[in-house]
Amino acid sequence: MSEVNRNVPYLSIKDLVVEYMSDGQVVHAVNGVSLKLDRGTTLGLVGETGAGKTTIAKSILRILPDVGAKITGGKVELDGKDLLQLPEREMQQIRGNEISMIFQDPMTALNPVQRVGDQIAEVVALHLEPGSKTNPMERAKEMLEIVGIPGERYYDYPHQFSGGMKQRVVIAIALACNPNLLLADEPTTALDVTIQAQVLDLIGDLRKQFNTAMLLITHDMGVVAQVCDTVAIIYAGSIVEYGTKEQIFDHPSHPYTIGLFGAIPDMNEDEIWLHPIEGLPPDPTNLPKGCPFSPRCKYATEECRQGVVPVSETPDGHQCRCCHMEEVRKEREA
Amino acid sequence: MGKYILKRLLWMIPIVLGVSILVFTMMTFCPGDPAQIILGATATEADLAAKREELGLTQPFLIRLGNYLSQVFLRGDLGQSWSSKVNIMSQIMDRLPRTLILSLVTLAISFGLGIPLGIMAATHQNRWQDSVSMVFALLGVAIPNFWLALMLILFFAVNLGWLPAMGIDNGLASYILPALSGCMGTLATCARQTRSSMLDVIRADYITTARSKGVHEKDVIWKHALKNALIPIITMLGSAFGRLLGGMIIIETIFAIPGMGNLIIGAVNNRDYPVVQGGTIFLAIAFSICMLLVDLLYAAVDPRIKAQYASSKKVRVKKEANANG
Amino acid sequence: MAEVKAKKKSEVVRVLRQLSKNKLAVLGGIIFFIEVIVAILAPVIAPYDHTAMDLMNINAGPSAAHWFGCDDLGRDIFSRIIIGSRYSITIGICAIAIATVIGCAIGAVAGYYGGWVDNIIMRILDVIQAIPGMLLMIVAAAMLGPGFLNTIMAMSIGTIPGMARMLRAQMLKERGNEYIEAETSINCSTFRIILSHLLPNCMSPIIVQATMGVGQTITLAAGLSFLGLGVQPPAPEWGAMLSNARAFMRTAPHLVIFPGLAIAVTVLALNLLGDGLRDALDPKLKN
Repeated sequence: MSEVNRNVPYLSIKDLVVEYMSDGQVVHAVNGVSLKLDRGTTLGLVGETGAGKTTIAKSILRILPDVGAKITGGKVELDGKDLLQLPEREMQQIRGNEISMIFQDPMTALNPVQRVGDQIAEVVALHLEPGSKTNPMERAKEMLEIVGIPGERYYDYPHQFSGGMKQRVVIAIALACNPNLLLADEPTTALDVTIQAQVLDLIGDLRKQFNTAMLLITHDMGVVAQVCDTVAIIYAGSIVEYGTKEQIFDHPSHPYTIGLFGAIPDMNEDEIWLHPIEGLPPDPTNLPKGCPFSPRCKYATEECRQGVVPVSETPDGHQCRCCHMEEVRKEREA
Repeated sequence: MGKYILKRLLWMIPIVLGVSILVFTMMTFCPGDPAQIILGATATEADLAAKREELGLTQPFLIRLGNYLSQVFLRGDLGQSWSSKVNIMSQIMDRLPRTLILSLVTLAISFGLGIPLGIMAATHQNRWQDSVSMVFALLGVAIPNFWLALMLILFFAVNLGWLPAMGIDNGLASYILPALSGCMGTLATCARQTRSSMLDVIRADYITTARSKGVHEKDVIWKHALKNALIPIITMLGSAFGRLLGGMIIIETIFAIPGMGNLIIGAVNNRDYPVVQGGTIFLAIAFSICMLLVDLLYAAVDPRIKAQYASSKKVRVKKEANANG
Repeated sequence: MAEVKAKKKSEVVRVLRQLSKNKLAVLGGIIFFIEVIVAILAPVIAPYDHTAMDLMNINAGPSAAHWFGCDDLGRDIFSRIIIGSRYSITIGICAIAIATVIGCAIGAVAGYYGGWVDNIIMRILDVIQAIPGMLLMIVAAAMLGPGFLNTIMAMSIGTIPGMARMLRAQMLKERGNEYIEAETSINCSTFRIILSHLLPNCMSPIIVQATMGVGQTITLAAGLSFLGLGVQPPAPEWGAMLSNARAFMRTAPHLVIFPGLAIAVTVLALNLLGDGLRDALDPKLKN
């Protein structure tokens, strides 16, 4: 590993643009996203289904589908080196070792015809340091124990596991090589509520042990509150608000963020109704001009539809992409 | 697992019994008088009557059927050929290996080339490799194997003189053209099936997982994707083998290979019913055993199917659901 | 009822529109359509009488007068192939039509009733399908004797089990749907339920299978004739022509080339059309 440079964040994404081709139409999945993540911290990437969250994570690892998907612009810098420029062979060394990923659906994330233990051992064997005495099989059993599965289940197949246990195996695969960065794509969405907390705790414990940074993708503000240090709210492929957890939760400035809060029940207040956001996300093949949220936004004016809305940043680093930020904030504080 | 295999083997007994009854019945209703064909046009009416008596043709159908079945299943005797008087079992034992070897070699070539071709098409989807292999696959399915056999003979045996046109006197070389002409259809079907199931599989989440682990692209395809893509390909293997065995009948006739096909066609033309019956029974047994092997291959590839076999309940239902889904 | 009809019509329109986007399928459809027209008008189109022997032109190669050359009796091969298309295409279409009707009836009964009816039918199919298809057709052809109609029958016998099995599987899938329960509960007759509701919903794979099946049957029937068990010479059936031409392969290779090409082109056209139909009928299957 290279020297830790205090001035350069561990992971820095700059102006990432990703497009898909689908039936001859261009799908604008990610439109100029910039993010920063320091070692050991957690960034929450929050947004609706289809907002481009998973695409961002897959772009970091460069595992977007070969056919159709293309990173058309931007940089993904890890410790200052641009991952998008690395040759495939070096990238393979980084995947699973330096950066690893947990997937949304544990039911389909494991190879059904391979023993679960072998699936963990494979990633260990791939990234063995030359001369290392680690036995991949032993390490796989150890990882199973760490995630709370008896080591002798190494020889079982995925169909013999429950959903929660499968996700534990996926986590074991992701953490087997002590990665410095974990990309967790809705790791608890497909699980029962009772299992969700266990899995989150497990990820948290293991990260503390290894000082792993995490990019957590979720649409669940509750999970964000529990786990994250900084939060990026993403809408239709661009970041609409970005700040520390406190900034976002205490002073939300973008109408969409506020809408997201309205869509979760607040246990402290006697609210009878949830306030869902009206309307649907825009068609990514045909994004509205200007602010993509404007068609659903009650503050929207002509100004919003004119052109790309610039990002404004407060002195303490709270970013927001909205023409009516002040107005929204005032109304919110009132 | 052992119990499952035993059950399947036992199940073959009623199947073979059914096949025997079916073929015997069909042969009985063939037009033409076997006695006339055996004795020739000059035979007297008395000779013909004696011959019919000798062949047992004068008895009622059900008695003949009963006699035949007890002869085959209780005494394990297929009888002797009407025309050559040779014991049918020994004839079959002489010829069956040639047909089986030829079929298996053909099958091996078909899958050995078809699967890589399909993988190449899938991994280069919509590029020239894909188009070339799919054009090849389309032609392979469309070209009749007996015509291809004639064309290959014309080119390699007649024009170039590289390979023998018929017979089995030249060792391995004798089998090259028959195998090539027999494999094309299966190879093409296999390539197409591989391509489509591979395209399904490489979009699966676990393939993304494998990539995210840093697995080399080659291993992603050959280690992770292929084993999963094999399952629908194995489904195809069984029916492909059946078609291949059937196709071998024509191929053997064209290349004058003394195998089962040649035996059966000759017997059909001579109205030598016991030989047709015995040959069909043996080909049905060979086919059934191959289907069993295919099902075992399933289990070897897919642990979920293996678990079903082991629990042995409702295997049939689930398998059919699997084959259709 | 009108609504149902309108819905069905729009479905047909959707499938046809989808199909028309697939260039290869359209090509296959056009080729097969032309072949059918040629078969119907064969005596008008054929440049020569297909039985007329020209002793000056025995085994003559392709020329301006005889595009595909002449055979061992000096008959024009081009004319014979055109007349022959009547045999091959009729055998293919009729055999598949018969097999589809009978196979679907068997499969529908098995799939709808289930239980012991299904069990008996399936075990009988197991027995029939234990015999490799071509062999079954050969035995059937031997039983029926050679000839045009008997070849059609033999081909159908070999194709019925596969059709029946396929419809049954499809039926089992459909039978679980709630609308069938609804029909049963309002006392629709069994026959009516099968005919007007279950069958139409099971048709997609059958249509595809039948289209491909016509091609396969043409090949198999030609194979049967090639073995001398199907259509008999001097009828210019393509397989019978090949069988006859074998003897002259060394001296007059064009005798074997053209009938085979005719089979290959026909089967290719039908496969292209079948592929296109499959994609159009079931968008999920498309890659």
